[in-house]
Amino acid sequence: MDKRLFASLVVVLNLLLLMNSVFSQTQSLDTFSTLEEEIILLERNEISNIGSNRHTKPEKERVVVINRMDLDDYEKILEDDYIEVYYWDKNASIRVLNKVNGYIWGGLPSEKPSDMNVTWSGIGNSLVSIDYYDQAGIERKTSIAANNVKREYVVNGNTIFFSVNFTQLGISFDFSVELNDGSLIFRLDSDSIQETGKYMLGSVYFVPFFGSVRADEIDGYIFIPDGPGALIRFDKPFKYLSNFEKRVYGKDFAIDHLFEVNDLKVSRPNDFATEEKSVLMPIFGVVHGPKQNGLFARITSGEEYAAIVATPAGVLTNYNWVSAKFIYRQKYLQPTTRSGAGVQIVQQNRNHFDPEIRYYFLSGDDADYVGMAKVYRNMLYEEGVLARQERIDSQIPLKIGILGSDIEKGFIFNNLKVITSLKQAEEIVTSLNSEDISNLTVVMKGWQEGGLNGSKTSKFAFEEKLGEKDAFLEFSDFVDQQGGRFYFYENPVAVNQFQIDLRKEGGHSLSQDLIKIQRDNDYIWIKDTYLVKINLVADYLENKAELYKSNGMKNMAVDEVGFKLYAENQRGDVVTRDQARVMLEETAKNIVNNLENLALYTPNQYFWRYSSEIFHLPMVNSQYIYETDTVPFIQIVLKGSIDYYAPYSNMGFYSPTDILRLIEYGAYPSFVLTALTNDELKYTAISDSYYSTYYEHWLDVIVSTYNTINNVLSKFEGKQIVDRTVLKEGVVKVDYEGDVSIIVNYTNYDYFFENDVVPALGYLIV
Amino acid sequence: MITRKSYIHFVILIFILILTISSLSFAEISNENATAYSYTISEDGVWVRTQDAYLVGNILFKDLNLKSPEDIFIRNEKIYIAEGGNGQIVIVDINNSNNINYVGKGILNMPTGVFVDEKGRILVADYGLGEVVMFDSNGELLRRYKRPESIVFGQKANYNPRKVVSDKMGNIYIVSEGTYDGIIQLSEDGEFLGYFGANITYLSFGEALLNLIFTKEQQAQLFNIIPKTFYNLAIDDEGLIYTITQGVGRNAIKKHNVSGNNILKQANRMISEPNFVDITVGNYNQIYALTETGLIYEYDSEGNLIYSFGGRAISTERNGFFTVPVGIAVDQVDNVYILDKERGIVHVFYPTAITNMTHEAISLYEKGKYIESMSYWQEILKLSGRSRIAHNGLGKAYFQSQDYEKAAEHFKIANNKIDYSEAYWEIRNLWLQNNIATILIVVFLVWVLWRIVKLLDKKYGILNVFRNFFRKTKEVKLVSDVLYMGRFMLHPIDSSYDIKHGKKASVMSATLVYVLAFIAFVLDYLFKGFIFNPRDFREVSYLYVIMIFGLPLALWVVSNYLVSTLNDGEGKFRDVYCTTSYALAPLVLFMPIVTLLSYVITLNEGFIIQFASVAIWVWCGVLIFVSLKEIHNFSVGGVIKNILLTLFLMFVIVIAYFIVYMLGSEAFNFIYTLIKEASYRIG
Repeated sequence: MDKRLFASLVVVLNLLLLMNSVFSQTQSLDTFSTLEEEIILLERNEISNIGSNRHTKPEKERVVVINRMDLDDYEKILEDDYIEVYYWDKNASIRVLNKVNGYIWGGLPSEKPSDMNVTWSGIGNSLVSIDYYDQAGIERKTSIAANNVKREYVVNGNTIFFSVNFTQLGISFDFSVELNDGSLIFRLDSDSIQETGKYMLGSVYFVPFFGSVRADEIDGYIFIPDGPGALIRFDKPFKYLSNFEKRVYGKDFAIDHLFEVNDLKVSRPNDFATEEKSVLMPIFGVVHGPKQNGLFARITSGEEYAAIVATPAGVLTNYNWVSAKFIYRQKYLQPTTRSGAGVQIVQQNRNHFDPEIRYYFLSGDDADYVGMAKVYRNMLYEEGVLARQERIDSQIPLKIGILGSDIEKGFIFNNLKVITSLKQAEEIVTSLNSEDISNLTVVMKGWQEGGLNGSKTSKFAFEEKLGEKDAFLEFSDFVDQQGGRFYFYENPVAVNQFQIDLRKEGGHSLSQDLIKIQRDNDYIWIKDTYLVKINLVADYLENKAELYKSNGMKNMAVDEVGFKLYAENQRGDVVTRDQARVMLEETAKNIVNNLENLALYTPNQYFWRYSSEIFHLPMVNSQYIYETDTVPFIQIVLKGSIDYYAPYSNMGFYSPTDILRLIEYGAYPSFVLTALTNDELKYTAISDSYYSTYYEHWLDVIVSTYNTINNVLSKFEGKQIVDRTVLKEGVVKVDYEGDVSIIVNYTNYDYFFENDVVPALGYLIV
Repeated sequence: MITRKSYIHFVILIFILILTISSLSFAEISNENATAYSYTISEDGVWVRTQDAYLVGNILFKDLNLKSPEDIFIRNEKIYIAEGGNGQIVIVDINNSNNINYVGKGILNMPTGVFVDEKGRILVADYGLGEVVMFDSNGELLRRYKRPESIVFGQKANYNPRKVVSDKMGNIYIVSEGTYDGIIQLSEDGEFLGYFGANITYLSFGEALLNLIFTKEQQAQLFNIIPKTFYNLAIDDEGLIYTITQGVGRNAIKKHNVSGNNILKQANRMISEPNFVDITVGNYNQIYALTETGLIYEYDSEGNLIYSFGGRAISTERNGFFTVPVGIAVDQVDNVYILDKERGIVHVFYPTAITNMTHEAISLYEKGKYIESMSYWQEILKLSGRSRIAHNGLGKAYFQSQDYEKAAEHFKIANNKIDYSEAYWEIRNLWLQNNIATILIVVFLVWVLWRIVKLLDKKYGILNVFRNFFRKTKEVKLVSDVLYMGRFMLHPIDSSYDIKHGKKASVMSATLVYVLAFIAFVLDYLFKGFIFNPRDFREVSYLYVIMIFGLPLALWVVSNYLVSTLNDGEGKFRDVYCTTSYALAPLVLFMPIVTLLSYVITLNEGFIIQFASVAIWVWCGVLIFVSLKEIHNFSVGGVIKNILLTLFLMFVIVIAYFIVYMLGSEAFNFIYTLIKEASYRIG
């Protein structure tokens, strides 16, 4: 019985074998087309890019701007070699005459324009305007031109001293206007502020409508420091939802934490928006006719409590205006339930600071954003913030961020995943070296014990699974010997609950709760980010720098601290925002003594003095629909003084127009790489943030991107930018010192310049 | 003067429930050029961010001051906008934005839909007039399609045209508000041709149950089960109609054939949302759908999601954020136009290189040229890191070129069980072909060896060592009790009797059997072979697994004992505990085999797994039934009653627990809020 079964089985199987071999076919592989031929087709839509506000528009044909303001009813009150200041006491307004070209600057063209009501006319004309709160928290605006304001002034030398008293509100204070070497300085004496009534002072604006333009009556623009720099060209009124208001040096997370509900009501996660760029420099400007007349304003004191406010025509008024808002009090969210819902209430105590803002009057070649950038650059040189200390290399540097290790979600416990071992990192460096790229800025992230998102912020230890200290130092020396620099990455600011003891080390907001940044996405593992107490941030950094020195570690790359400036508001332990800034500056000054190089990511202007290199400099503005252009203001200021790098190219910045932008803005390329493919990373904490980092996939792109940019920018190492012109939509010429220029062509047709051709999606050095 | 009352009113007003939600991430890692992230579906089916698929180029029509524009359509390099607020159609040249024409002023009232046919004739659905109006390309009125007078259409039927398209033969398709029977189809002459493609209604389980009970009159009063209406429609070059339905989670988008049936290959599996507002078809037959919140979803022609982008403008207006998006259209160079009704502007998105590559790849893929699409998919994977559609594309390409190993690898990554099963079949087939000879030889050798061993054993007793060993282990009570499972499975009645009278089994052995059953259960639940495993063990919390196994069993044992004592059952708690555990014997002994089998069979043989699993559970059920009868000494009817009462008691316990939990949670929240508020006011 068994035997028969066995035999039949054998027969059947053999039959199957036979059948299969009879019916199987072979098929030859077709050859597939090469991709290179298709590249042009694939990038054909890039030309749509140039009409957007990520690029700069060409200036229209020059029309001479004539004075729209007159000096009737005004009396001269101050004068020096450069400007004359006129004043009319009826509405406490000033006019400024630029002696160089006779242009008159002021608020509104008349005392009460037909399209403005009395309150706004007062705000538009007068020297000072305020926002104030009543007991119920309702915010209102008024100015010193209003009826019930008592004003007194006295001129003393080059300064007008004012005392104002809003009698109905019970608010009074003193301020001054000083004429100093062709510039006007507005100051408010905070000690003189008195609030005797039921009203509380909210914010103060100096000459809010200075340089404002009605609709598109003049060809010109407002310049705001959004990202690298943005222009709002004067245009007809349009009903925008809101204006531009951003705090200088970014939000103060210890009090600013109001975000709108972003509910998309779909199965996709709700955190769809990319981060808006922050204001890195406390400046703004207005141009009436490019290369004709310009205003440049710089906040010189109290910028930690200031916001840049720019309003295009159509939002509340038909005027385009820009001003600085000095915030004494603001509203914040006091949560009363566990889910975070609560009441918005007004700050009880005023912020302590003394506002000071300076206005400079520009004309001729200085009167555009390039001129402003050069003016600002000179100021920073004179103050010692910047110096001609860019490292001059024969080949441009290439930044490679390497992810070493991170925590991974396990079945019961979390474990540590090695993402790129030191050996693999060495392989990456060697393969780049073999392609003749040796000037590498290597940043090792996740080298600490616990990985990138699991390491304790207060501790200093190497992750053993990657290697011992000596292995790291060996790798560091290896990179240095090849001609590069090796940085250890630090993030002492933004952490998750695994990294700090929340009660002791977490920063608190004014509501006494921990500062928590939540991502509205149910699919990711770690949704909440906490901020470390700001004084601890300073301490940890200083301790770490000392440990670096004693351990022979040379370079530190610090993330987050450059652009996150926040107070500590736990009762009894308060550090104000300006104290925090002083603290961080002091720390930076101390740690550079222990380090060879300190690099910062997207640093605010006060850190530039201490930075050897700047990582992740913004290249595009926040793209509000009223912004008409992106301009490389910050790049013009920094080029020739510090090496700066663009955001990671492999995270959405690798197209040909992006590479051209790097060339145009003088920025060096950067990439973030791992030795694992991204689906192998899907259970780690960083899986949602990086989409494509596997180095074998990117090696070719890195080499070709580097070579393209290096061919150009290696010739411009250490040179300053002298001018920038948009020859035609999509064709930009950047002039450097030494009489050499780059012309970049973002369009897909050739551009003829003098006797040369700038190829489509290409560049030309002249 | 601020009165107390208005202060209180104001405080209440100010009591804004704003959730502290933010969309902040580390600034270092962001797409520099985009205002909103582009998303795709990763290989394991989750939404992931990817390289920018589309970026905003221009913002159009800021200076046109459009009033309540309701629809946008593009044909022959002209943009047509139905300007509802001004009763006209605005026609703008794509290449020359100064070339603007207006059509229909004075004739139209509130146009909400616009379409242009191949002859350049403009069809307008005018909600205000309640008509569809046709103009020629110069704007001359050609005809008006009023309410059809045909008897078939009926007197009470709604005719409120909102959107309209027409096909190559001139037939007109109208989406009318409040029309549940589907799309109204008219001939070019205005004759009513019938309704097209109505939605089906679905009865929920509860409703179906009630349907059985109530009489016809009661049904008519209570249930108004009407199908959902269509919200918008589009037509492609082949004349196929696409529709959108709102308020449904599945199949919100449909592609209809001539009879009106949904022919999307991914129907029922498609990722769709309940709030789409417009739909259009691209140049590669891909589908674009726009949600009410400003998101654009792009699908291939089968309904697989390719990319999603866009965003919602709540208080900040950035490029690509919309306030009230109402219309989407595509031009011939693949730019995507989104119309914002509230702002009266159009944002134009252009595709980046990776999107153009994706379009090329899906176009080749759809023509069946899988191998040519391979290099595109590889590039796309390199750039975007994780993409389900790319892995599927590569899988198909490798399959077509007969590299089954690679095909299976990619299908497995893409969680595509159906295609993986086919690739695996091929691999298994090849393996069998290659190895059948060796297998047969090995089997033969083993058989020969076994005969030799048996012969030797007969003569010399070489296996006696093993026999002694087994005998010794069986003598340990615990082991023998556990092995008693086998007997219990085959002779439940006698075994239950033995257990009841204490002769066999102990609490210890029963617990051991429970543990073994749990292990078998976990293996089957979480660790089946890829083709048959619906879940990833990492996503499942181990506590959850313990709960779904342990909790019902625990509840059952306890409830059964309680119920039985009330019912004069004879069984003690120990008896119920032990017999229930032994009743799981089929699970312990046979489920692991089924689990192992799941690693080597394909979907074609999937019925084996299902059949075996069902058989095992049924067997367990029978064992429980029989053992209950024996230990409690009930009649058959008594056992049934006992089981029903046990189930009922389990249900009651669960409900009681939930009630207590919810009340406790509410109480806790209330006290917490009180304390927080008090501390704030005092502090």
